Order: sequence, then C-alpha cells, then structure tokens
Amino acid sequence: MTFLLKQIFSFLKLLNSDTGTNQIAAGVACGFILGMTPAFSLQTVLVILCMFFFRIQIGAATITAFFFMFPAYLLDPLFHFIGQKVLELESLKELFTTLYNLPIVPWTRFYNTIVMGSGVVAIVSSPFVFIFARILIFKYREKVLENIKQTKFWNAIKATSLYQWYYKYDSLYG
Amino acid sequence: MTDINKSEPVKIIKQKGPIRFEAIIPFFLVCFAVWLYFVLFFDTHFRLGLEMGLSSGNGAETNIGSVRTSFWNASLDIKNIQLTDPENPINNRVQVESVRFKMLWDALLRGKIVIDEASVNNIAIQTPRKNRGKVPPPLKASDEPSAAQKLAEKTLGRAADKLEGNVLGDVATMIEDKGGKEQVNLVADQLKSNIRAKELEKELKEKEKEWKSRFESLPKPKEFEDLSQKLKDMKFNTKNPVEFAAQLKEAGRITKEIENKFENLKATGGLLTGDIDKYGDAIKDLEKIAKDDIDDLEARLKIPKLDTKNLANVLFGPEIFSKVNMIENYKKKYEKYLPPKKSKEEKAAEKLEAHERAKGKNYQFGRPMSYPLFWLKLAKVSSTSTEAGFSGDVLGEVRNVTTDPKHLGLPITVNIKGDFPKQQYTGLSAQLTLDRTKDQGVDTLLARIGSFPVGQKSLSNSTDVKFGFEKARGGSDIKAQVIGESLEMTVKNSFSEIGYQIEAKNKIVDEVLKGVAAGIPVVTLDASVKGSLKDLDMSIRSNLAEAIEQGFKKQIDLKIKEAREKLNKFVNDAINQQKQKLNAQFNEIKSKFQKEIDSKKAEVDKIKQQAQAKLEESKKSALDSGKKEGQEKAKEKANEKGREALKDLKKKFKL
Repeated sequence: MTFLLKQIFSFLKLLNSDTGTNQIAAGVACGFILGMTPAFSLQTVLVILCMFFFRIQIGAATITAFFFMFPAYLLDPLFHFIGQKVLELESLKELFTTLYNLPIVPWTRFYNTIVMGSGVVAIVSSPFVFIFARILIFKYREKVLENIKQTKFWNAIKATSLYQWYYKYDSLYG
Repeated sequence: MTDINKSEPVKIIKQKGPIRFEAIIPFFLVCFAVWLYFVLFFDTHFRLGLEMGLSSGNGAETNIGSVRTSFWNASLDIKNIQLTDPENPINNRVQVESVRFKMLWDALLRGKIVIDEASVNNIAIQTPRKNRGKVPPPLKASDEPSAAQKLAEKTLGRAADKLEGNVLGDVATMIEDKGGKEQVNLVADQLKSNIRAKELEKELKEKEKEWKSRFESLPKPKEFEDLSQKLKDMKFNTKNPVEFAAQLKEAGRITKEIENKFENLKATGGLLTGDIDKYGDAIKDLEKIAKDDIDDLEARLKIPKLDTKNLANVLFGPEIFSKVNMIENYKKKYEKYLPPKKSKEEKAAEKLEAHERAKGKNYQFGRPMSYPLFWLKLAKVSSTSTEAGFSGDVLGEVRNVTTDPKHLGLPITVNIKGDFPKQQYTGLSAQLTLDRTKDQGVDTLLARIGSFPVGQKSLSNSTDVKFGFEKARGGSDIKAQVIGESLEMTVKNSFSEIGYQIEAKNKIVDEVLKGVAAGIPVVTLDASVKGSLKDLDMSIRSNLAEAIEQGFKKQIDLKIKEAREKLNKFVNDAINQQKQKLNAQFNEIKSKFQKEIDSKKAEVDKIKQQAQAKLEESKKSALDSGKKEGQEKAKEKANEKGREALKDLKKKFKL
C-alpha cells in the first residue's frame, strides 16, 4: 500500500513537472490494458513485469487501471461478442488448438471470450491510448497547470512556511 | 513539488534510460525471499494446513510427522500420518507410515494436476497413540432415519438400536408359562370387541324405536279391505253408456290407489329389511374385531413368532444393518467429491465449448486424451505387518481418480489384497469400482475375508436366556452394487469352530439350545438386501435359525397353541355373552318385523289381485254389451243404405 501511495504521489509530481511524459503515457497505456482484462491471468503478470522492468509510471498505471475497470465492466457484452467472433474463426482454430495444448499458454485464458475480446481491444487500442495520453499531458501542462500557477491562491500557498519547508526537503532528498 | 518560478539553482536530474535497472535488485531480493520461504517455511505451513483439513474430515485430531515438497520434481512426501479414532481417542483410526505423490510438470504447465504415481505405505489400523487425540464435540444428528434404520423398522417392526436380541428370552418365557399367568391384568371392558358390542346394544335399542315408527307408518290392512269392499259393491250399468263410463273411471281410481299403497308397502318394507340386515352385518363384524383383539394381545404378551425368517432377521439383522449403514455412509462421503451429472446443454457444448461462465464463455480446443483438471493415475498401497495395532501384509492399488471420469472414459478402481496374521485375518480382498463414465453412476464392491476370528457375539440376551458365540472363525463374501439410488447387496457369511455360549434358566430351553449347538458345526448366514436406499427389502437365511426353529418347534408350538387358545377363550368369554344377548335381541326384533311385513305383503297382494280381477270382469262385460249394440246398429245402417240405393235406382229409371 505504501509502495502504491508513493507511486501515486510520484505520478502527481511527475505530471506537474516538465519531464516524464512518455513514462506517464506508457503507464496510462499499461493501466488501460490491466483495467480491460477481466481477471488475473498470465498476460496481467507480463504487463506488471514490463511496468516493473521498464521505466513506466506505475502510479499512472494503477490509477488508470482503477478507472478503466468500470467502463470495462459495462463493455463486457461487447468484449464477449468480439472474443466469440475471434475464437470461432475457422482459420485460427488450428492455432488455438495448438496453443490450448501447449504448456503455459493456457494460463493466459485466451480461450475465454471476454479475455480474448478485451485483450484484442486493449492491445489494438493501447498505441492510440499512448498517443492520446501524451497529447493530454501536454495540454494539461500548457493550459491547466500554467493557469493554476498564476492564481492568487497558489501564490498564497507558496508563501507559507510549510511549503517552504517541503520545497527544501524535496530539493535535498527528492 | 518543484517550483519553476523560483530563481534558485535547479537541481539537474540525470536523464534515465528506458530500463529500470534499480528495480532488478529488489526484484531478485523478492524472488530470493519467496524461495527462502518455500525452502524454510512452506513445508511446515503446508503440514499445518493438511493437519487442519484432515482433522476436519476425520472428525478428530490428525497429526502428520513431516511434509516435504519439491518444486523441481513436483513431488510431495508425507510421513507418519495419524488419524485419531473419534470413538476411541487413545488409538489411531488409521496410521500411515508414508505417502508419496509425484505430479507431471507437463500437466502443471497446462494448469492441470496429474499424479503419475502415488504410493501409500504401511497402513496400520487401531494403533495406540502417544497422546490422547483431541475430538470436537459431536454435531446434532439428523432427524431423518438412515437407510439401515428404515430397513430395521421395516424388517423387524422396530429400530435396530432398540433390538435387544431377546427372541429366545421370549421363547423361554413362553415355555415356562410365565406370560400366561401375568397375562397383563386384562380387563374385559377394555377389549375393543367388547366396547363395540356394548355400542351395538345401545344402537339396537334406538334402532328398534326407529323401525317401529317406520313400521307404523305403513298402510294398514283395513285400508285395503275398505277399498276392496268398495270395488266389490260396484254394479256396472252397461245399458247406460254415460253411467257405465263414470263407474269404470271410479273402479280404475280405486285399483290405482290399491296399487300405490302396495308399492309403498313394498318399498318401505324393503328398506326396513335392508336396514335390519345391515345391522346384522355389524354384529358379524364383531368377530373380526375380536380377532384383532387376539392379535393385539399376542403382541402385548410377546408370544414369539418362531419361523425361520423371523428368527434369522432377529438374530443376524443388526449385522446386515451395520453393513448397509456403512455402504450408505461411504456413498454419501465419496459422492461429495465425484463430479455431478452434466446437463444436456453442457453435453452439447462439449464438442467445442465447455460451459457458460459468469463472465464470458470458455472454449475448449481439447484433444480427446488431454488431461482432466485432476487425475490420480495410480496410487499404490502397501503395508507390512508389525506388532503394533491392526497392521498387516497388504498390497493394493487405486487407479484413475479424476474430476472428469467421462472425459477420461475410465472408472475409478480400488483393488486391495492382504492378510493380517497378528489379528488372524487372512484372505482379505476387495475390488471397488466407481464407474462414473456414463450418465448414471454404477458402483460395485466385491469383498472377501477368507477367515477372521469372531469374539464374543451375543445372538440373544435376556435374563432367562443367553445364547451366542463365545468364539468362532468367520468367513465373509460381500457383493454390493449401487446404481443411482438403488442398492443390491448379498452377504454370505459362515462361522466355524464355534464355541457356543448357552445359559438358560429353563431346563427345556437349555437342552434344546445345547442340542441345536451340537448339531451345527458351521453356521451359515446368507443375506440379500435390494431396493431403493429409501425403501430396502431384506432377506436373511441361516441354518442356525432353521435348527432353533426345529429344536423348539414341538414344545413351543404346543405352548403357543395353548397361549392362543387362552387368549381366544379370554376374548370370546368377554364378548360372547354380550354377543349372544345382542344376537337374541336382534333376532327377536328382526323376526317380529319381518313376519309382520311378510304377512302384510301377502294380504295386500291378495286384495290387489281381487281388485284387478273385478276390474277386468267389469271391462269384459262392458265390451260384450258394446259388441251386441254395435251389430244391431250396423244391420240398421245396412238396411238404411239399401233403402237409399233402391230410391236412387227408381229415380234413375224414372219409375
């Protein structure tokens, strides 16, 4: 939990800085994949490992996964429909039969309509999500953040000793 | 947060690459911690978990010596399993020296558990424990009677746990004539037949009044005589047609009235006779009630039914009930773990799809011989006899225990053979087949014990007679088949080298039982149980029961006859007087009414016939006079016509 909170604070800090745009966008894309997947499976583990070993913003991924869980639940009938169509493709039947009888692969639960449907949708959409997230981050920094920094309220906060103390601490220990 | 507006020197952050190298060490640290946990603690925690699970299943404390798991070999070794006997916690119900399982990695990587080979070594029964095992308080028993209890109630008319095996005690009581004297202070007034006779007597008095009033409402002979006289006095005037017609009408009315009264008399008389006869039948029913009274008294006075079937049921019934109970209990237990029957939709989906899920649908792209979710291919069981507990030289194997027998197409089989030399159990074999490959499960058990010692076994235990085996050697063959909810079981037991225990206060009983025992060196017991588990039928045959029946037949038949006669006399004496009085009263009333009704009927019939004759006579005379008048009229009419024809001719010829 502490790790997660730390990651979320780090995400907010990074979002409000000038750096890490790609990290956050990749985190959002990974979170999108995680949020769309209906249950814990092998591909979930793979995505988590990717997040862990590559410089992907875990906080962004966590928040995005949490927010995408709800629309994913509503989209289940659509995923079921897409998954059914894919799994019933005669041309892929042999491939699926081979995969089904291979070791480890069944742990992905690809044979489930919702896992297959959501997987297809999430993987195909993830590059677009990445690009869209980047655009949104730039827009946020350009429009929202700059405007907030000009407000009297923000200037008043900056003038407090608590903020000064935090700023000093942050510059020393990061 | 970083303030970009501040003019202070900004800390230069070194640009990091896409790979999070700083996470590699923590990751490996976590992996190392997991590995360390599995090496140091997992086996202990797994052992504790197993102990908890087995204790819950066993219903008493279960201990496991050690558990060793191997990740690379996918194997599991469990040593020294001790399951406390809940009924005798100082002993183990079962003790197993070692159990070994080896799973297939190939199946594990596919998310399936396939145990390639398992072995269970050195099983011992009833071994002493170091410490008394903990037993949880018993749960409240179900109110629903078991199949064995239902069978006992059906066969013996009482529950098996209330069966005291005292049938020979009842025989002794009968021979000594104790029961005859005690004859349960029977009060004649309490007999159902006597109570009914008194009720009938009371009813008869009321009926007599009713019949009398109905009899009085019948038409009196005087009324018929008056009507008859009226008819006789009538003089018919045939000369005057108007008067004659009126007289005929009146005569018809009187005859009709007589007929109506006669019909009324006939109907009411018939009803009265029917009612009287019905009451006569009620008096006859008294005999049936008296017979029921006698049967009831026989049961209350415990007059034994000394037939072979009943004797065999009472002597050996409890042994068969315990076996039925055992099969029923095991069926309940293993059914929990066997997969339920698949629905039609699931069967249809088996071609490509498996089953509907809460979310989505799982497709199966399986090959015919792919692994089921769980499959224990082979488990070998072996044991070597030791000095402690109930241990023996046993060899056995369990094959194809699986969660999906239909998919596998193989039944679960258990084959065990062995001897327990210390306990003198030899020639043990059991073949159990649980076939769930088809829609309806077929479970078959073939079990045999070549020879086993029989300790003290009481067949009949009462204050007057104690009869049973002091010691014997037994042999047993059991065949049982459970198809769905129906059970078919045959048990063939034999007991040889018997040392009988015979203690009887009565000399005759003692002599008879000793004679029976001397004549039967081998006691056989053949039983069969068949039917639905909810309603089983049992049949037991034993040469001991036949011999006891023959031995006691002469004496007991005589005594039973005597006792029955006594009972018959008691009941008959109690009700005969009442019955005779009732019959006499009834016959008197019946004859009185019947006689009067019959005489009335005869008298009225005579009057009716007379009236009808008179009417017929008057009609005939009227017809005769009518005919004469008619002839004269026709003659005159013909003359008239002749005259008219002559007149016409004269006119024609102008004469």
